[in-house]
Amino acid sequence: MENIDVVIIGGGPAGLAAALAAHDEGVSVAILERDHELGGILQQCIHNGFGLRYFKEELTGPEYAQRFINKIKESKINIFLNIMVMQITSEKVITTINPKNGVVHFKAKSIVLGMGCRERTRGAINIPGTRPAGIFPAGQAQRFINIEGYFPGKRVLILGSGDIGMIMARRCMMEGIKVVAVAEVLPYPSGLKRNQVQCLDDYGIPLYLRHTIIDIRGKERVEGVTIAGIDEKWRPIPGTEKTWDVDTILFSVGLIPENELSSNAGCKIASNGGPEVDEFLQTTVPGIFAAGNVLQVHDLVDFVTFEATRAGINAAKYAKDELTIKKDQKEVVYVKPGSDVGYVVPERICGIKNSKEPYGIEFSFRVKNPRQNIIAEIISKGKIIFKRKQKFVLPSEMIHLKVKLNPEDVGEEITINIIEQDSSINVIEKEMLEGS
Amino acid sequence: MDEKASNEVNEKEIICVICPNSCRLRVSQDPKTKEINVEGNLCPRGKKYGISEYSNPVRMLITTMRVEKGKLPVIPVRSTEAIPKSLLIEAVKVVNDTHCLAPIKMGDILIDNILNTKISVIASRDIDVKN
Ligand SMILES: Cc1cc2nc3c(=O)[nH]c(=O)nc-3n(C[C@H](O)[C@H](O)[C@H](O)COP(=O)(O)OP(=O)(O)OC[C@H]3O[C@@H](n4cnc5c(N)ncnc54)[C@H](O)[C@@H]3O)c2cc1C
Ligand code: SF4
Repeated sequence: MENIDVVIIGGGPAGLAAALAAHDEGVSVAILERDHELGGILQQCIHNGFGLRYFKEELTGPEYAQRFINKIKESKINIFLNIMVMQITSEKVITTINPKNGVVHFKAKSIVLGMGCRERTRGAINIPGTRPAGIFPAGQAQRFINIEGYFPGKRVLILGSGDIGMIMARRCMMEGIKVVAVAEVLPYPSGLKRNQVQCLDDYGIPLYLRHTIIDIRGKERVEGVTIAGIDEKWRPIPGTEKTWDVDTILFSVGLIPENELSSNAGCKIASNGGPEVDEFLQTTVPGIFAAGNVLQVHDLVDFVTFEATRAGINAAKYAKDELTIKKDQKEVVYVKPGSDVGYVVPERICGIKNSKEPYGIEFSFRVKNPRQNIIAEIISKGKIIFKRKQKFVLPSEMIHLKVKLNPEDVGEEITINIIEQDSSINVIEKEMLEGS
Repeated sequence: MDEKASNEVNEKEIICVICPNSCRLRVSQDPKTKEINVEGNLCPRGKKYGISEYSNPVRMLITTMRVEKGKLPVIPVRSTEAIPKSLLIEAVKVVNDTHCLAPIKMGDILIDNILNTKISVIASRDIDVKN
């Protein structure tokens, strides 16, 4: 058994930033990565658009990763590649397997979870009958083209207008693979406008909103696909069908945090699929921390880096016995997603009740619907204790609120709401009346 | 060209992608003064974007190149600056016809002055030699 102060599970951008931050705190650090190299999902995201916040320049995914990998290689961080983490216990014993040495155990003082997320697959394409070959998650196809250097198709339809789907549409066109259309069940594209313009419009790829696949032709291999418009109850509208001959269907219908290991370790899993954490990014198992896509699916890697840096510092402090709030989590304040808020991280705050000064917390969350001219407000004990105006909010863009709250203002729970700017006063009055 | 000579105003609708406002810009050029006029932008950044998209739209060249003797069969590459949009597909073909040899370091110049644009194509990452 190897004894290490801080063990990082996963060598993507979250793992890399957490490792560097923990290492800077002077503890021993190891990264366990199942792939043959570090960098995680960034190695296949070859497009630019990374690093504007963190490095103040626009980089490609691999460049962003390489900068961190170079720093890691210069440090004393132990890197283990081709090693699959099989199990983590609440005592922080980690069971791994690798082709060379078989099963190897590690014992850590603290752990940072950085396993990333996986693509939603189940229910992505709900059609009856057997499924022919040629249907892939978009991210997997991205790996085929950008890392392994081949692509198993010539004519493609993409289901889902998430960023991965749109970026893959452009990538296919560049490689001479024809994209016939992108179909999206929602009434608006679920990825960024920038990607719609530069990945679809630039190449004349039609985007069909409120459409879904109703039929796939082909026995062994996909031969054709039919989509149709859907009504409010998601039923196909007769007469709106469109059919193409294609040999490949890619779907890009969302990502979910990868949390088998976390829940087996005893971490409570929150509604968004990630582990429930406190303001130190510590899960419900003391000494196990989480950051990056395993905690919440991020759209910008820069925020993964910021988040993981905090997790790495806190994990190192825990290992050194310096994290002030360790087991004493009695005076917990719970954070609730309110109107039009999908989820909030962190879900609980442990330190505020015992604080004598205004207490700094960083919240991140997503809205459920695209909206304009809103106020993001924090409510506790029936009063607004923080508010910020914002012109635009989109489900595809995570919102970050850095706040300082007065301990006296905070009750047993706080709620984050998104409300209309003009109607704000009425809503608040109503809530205060209901609260009293 | 005839278009230039004609007195008709050439209006194009361009969606500004600089920020989530996604303003719909109406961009046109005065046939006499050649001045480019942008409407519908909520801020000055939109004006700048509208003018550049109207007069000379550019895009980053992002693709992969075959690697010989490398740990991986392809390497992600990019142009050092955005290149004219009209050259993009041709530039991808040039990259596809070029091979490089491992080892490669991030930033290595793999194609110099692609299509006489004075812009280079560089490696986005390191690739070691296959052992
Ligand atoms: C297609 C796509 C396009 C994107 N585009 C952009 C963009 O333009 N700009 C931007 O800023 N961000 C973008 N992002 C977001 C950004 O890339 C991610 O938020 C970020 O990579 C998440 O980092 P992570 O470390 O949490 O996860 P990952 O990068 O997924 O890393 C997780 C790592 O953990 C390893 N792992 C998992 N389980 C185990 C196990 N059991 N044992 C050992 N190792 C394990 C995995 O192999 C992997 O290396 C994009 C993401 C995707 C998927
Ligand atoms: S014009 Fe200004 S406000 Fe409008 S989308 Fe462009 S950058 Fe945003």
